[in-house]
Amino acid sequence: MTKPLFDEIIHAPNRLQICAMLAAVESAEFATIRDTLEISDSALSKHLKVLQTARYVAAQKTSGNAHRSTWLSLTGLGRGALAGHLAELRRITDLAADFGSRSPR
Amino acid sequence: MMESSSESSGLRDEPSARAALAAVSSARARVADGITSPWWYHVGLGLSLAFALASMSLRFASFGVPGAMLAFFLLTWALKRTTGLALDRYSATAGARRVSTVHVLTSLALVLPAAVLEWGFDVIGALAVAGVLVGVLTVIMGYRVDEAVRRDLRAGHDQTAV
Repeated sequence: MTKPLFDEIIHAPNRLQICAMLAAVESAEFATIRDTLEISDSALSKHLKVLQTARYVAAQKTSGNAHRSTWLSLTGLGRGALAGHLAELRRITDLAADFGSRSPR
Repeated sequence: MMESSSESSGLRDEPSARAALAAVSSARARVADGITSPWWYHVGLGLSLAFALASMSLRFASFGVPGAMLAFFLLTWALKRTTGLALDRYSATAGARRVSTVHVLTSLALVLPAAVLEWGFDVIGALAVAGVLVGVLTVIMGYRVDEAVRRDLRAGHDQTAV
């Protein structure tokens, strides 16, 4: 059972979506995440820098004949933080639903 | 590591939490949409397996099996480049693992008797026939694995599901 823990770093909307995307796969290409979230290169780079600094995301650069690409993956620390954050979000919504069902009409 | 207050308000109220969970579901659904292998991947994988088994039957396994393995690695590499996503789709989710298990067991049920016939009773071509059947099965199961992964991810069943 994951311990609910609110994570300020992950909670920013774009960062939460980046982490959710990466949690579903082993790794994803920078361009794929950018196109999926429909944000600019610079905005994605900024969010990734925050996540990399927190050691939630790891980047691996590959170079082929045609082009360079950057592959991103969620680290074990990042997966744990995301799981804890999602558990906390669910706890908040469950609490509100529980409170709503008990309040007098 | 600083961020603007508009980016991460840190709001812990119910509407904010609900909106964040909806954003997570949306991100998962969009990743799920990307997990659609192109037809050439499924067909290529089926042909590779059929070729490997046929090569054992028709006595050119020394280059048939390595050739099939090379084709497998090239197809996997091309798929990763094409979709921009890397994952072991055959074991990515519980649903995919179930489909993969059925695939492996059915393939073994086809190949093992064929191997006994081919090598034990000199029935020439038995493994080649099994190879064709396994190849067709691989194409069908490949599409089913993709469907299972997409369904599971949309339902929120990834490694962070709590």
